[in-house]
Amino acid sequence: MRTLLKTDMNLNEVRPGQNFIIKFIPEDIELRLCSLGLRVGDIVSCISRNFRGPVVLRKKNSFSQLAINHNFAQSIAVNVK
Amino acid sequence: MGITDKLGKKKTINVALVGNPNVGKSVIFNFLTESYVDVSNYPGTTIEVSKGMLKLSEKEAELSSYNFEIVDTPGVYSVSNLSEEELAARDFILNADIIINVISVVSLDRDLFLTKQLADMGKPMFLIFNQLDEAKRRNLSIDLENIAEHLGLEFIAASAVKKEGLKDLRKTLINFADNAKIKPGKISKAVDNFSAPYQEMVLDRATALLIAEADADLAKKNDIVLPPEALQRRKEIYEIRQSEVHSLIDDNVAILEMKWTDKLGDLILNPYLGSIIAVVVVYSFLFLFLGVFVAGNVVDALENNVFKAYYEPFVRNVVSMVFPIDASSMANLAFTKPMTAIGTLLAGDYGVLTLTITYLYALLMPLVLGFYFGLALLEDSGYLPRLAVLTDGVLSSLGMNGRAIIPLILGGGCVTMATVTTRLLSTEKERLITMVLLGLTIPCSAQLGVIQGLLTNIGGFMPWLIWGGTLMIVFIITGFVMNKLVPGDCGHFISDIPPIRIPQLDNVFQKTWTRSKIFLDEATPAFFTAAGLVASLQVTGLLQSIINFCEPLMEKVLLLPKDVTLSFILGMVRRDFGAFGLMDIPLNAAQLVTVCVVLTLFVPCIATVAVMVKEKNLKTAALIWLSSWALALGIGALLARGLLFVF
Repeated sequence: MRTLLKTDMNLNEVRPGQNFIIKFIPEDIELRLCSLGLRVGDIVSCISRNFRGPVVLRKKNSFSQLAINHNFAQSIAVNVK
Repeated sequence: MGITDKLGKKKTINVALVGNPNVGKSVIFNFLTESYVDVSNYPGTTIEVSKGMLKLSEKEAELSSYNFEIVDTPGVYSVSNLSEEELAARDFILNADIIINVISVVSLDRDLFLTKQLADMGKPMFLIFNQLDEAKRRNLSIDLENIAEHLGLEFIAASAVKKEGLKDLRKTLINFADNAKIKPGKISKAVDNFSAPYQEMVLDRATALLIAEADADLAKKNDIVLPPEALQRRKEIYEIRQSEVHSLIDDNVAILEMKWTDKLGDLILNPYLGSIIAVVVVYSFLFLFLGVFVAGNVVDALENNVFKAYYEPFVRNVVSMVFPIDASSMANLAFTKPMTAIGTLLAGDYGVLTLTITYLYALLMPLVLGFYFGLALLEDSGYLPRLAVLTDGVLSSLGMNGRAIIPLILGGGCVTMATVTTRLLSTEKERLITMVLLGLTIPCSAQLGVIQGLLTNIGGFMPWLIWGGTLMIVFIITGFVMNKLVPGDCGHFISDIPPIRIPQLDNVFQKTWTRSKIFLDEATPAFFTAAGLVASLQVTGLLQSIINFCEPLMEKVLLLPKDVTLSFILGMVRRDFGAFGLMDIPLNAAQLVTVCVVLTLFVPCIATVAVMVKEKNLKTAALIWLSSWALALGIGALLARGLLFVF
């Protein structure tokens, strides 16, 4: 069950440089992101956000970067720290 | 004494190189098999599976009980039948006797997920912790021994691109028969509980695990009906695995020191700064390097100071000792003067020993080498995936996604090869649109080089801008219309972004040479065919008849001299050859820009059409071919009239 707080927003609203926690990932991409090392509860920072383009993330304590398409980013909920 | 089968041959052990994309599998494959497959710094380089035998010295072959077949599998993040690459990799893993799991130490948090899944399969396995040089550069502290011990697997630490640490791998494989290093890893108990019921049904542990992870394809092959909760169970297994990876990382990896390359990588991803950098990169690469330096200085020097000054006169002298040559005749020599026809065919204006050799080695080769050198630098630096991020928004509105930028850029090298690369795109819709745009608007390296050279000769930036701008407009409108007309989904861009790296020059040179050789091997027979065709048309007088026939189309529609017909005939065989044909025809600035645009939009070369038929079907290829004709001529006619007001 998805329980969102007032401070939650979707991934597309995060600004570059902000750190946040992944709160919700929709089922259709959950496994794909999990195998790429990203899951609910991870602390992540935003590297860049392109207009109608992907959001690029870097996990805390990692060099790995992950680009997530605009539409998917819209459906991922995050909580800014 | 080796282990042999009934025919007295040594048994072959199948070794699968498995790992995430871009971790160095292909470099290790090249090392083990002493062959070469393409290695680049972006995910999905290996779109076809490469196989090769482990190269052994005579002494090693005597010691070894087996032959080893090495398979370089496509990079995957898991083996769960989520994509075509995963499906291909899965089948090789299930058939493998040994798995070599290649892991990047710089992205352990991502890579170890697959490692855990492979370990749970219970196959003999061995780890290579690769890219140690990068970890050192970043002062990354990792307890590799502890990680390997936790997984119950042996490992070697390597910097594959520097060929460090790989010698032990050969020894480990050769001593496979009595080797304690290659054994199954520790199996996660929690995961084992899920797969145990299936193991009784299928006997094979790896297959049982994948069925437990809801692999519908494997379940069907084994006559097993998946329960409704199968997907939920897969999710639970993934959660367990990812938790184990997290605790492994927390306990054994100390991070982190960002280097200037990481900061540069982040800057390139900035939508504003990144776009400016992209413009500078494209301008420097296409205009300054390829157009001015290679097509201008290098080609000029080779063509005029070597081939036209020494080579061609020498060939003509030799041929004319036996056969008379009527160099520029358009008359029917074949029937009136057969000996002269042979001489002209060999060493006339379009002779197979003169024009073809000059075009191949003075023009084509430097242009192709130049393009692939620049492209290899961009690829190995990790720039292309960042360009994919920057262009994803635009490409999405044209029915593709950011990943399509890779075949589109590779098309600047060879459209034929790039058409094959469209396989890395996930949906039929984006493949078709990318294929059409490649065939229509992307010039290959040699054509690009000649066109850049011709446009640079006119002077100023304006011709270049009109040529590029027209192609861009056609690209956008075609993509936009196709996005509306072609049914289906354009796929979604989720990709890991590799770090920015300083390219290894030996790999850059190796890749430049290998790709250029493939290109030249393919182009050479086509060039000889085209030259032979044109020379035959010339000596039979047919060339003049065709030129006369096309005169109204050239002069009235495209406002070009009728001699340009020859470029179109050559262009049908190879587009770059068509562009070369322009170099000897006097044209004014407007005509030159018009013909450069028309020849770029003109039909894809024969090899590309053949690949289109193979990748799609004859109907689609024919449709693309005919549409290219119509679009090229229509746009050429409009542009020719518009340019009268510009130049």
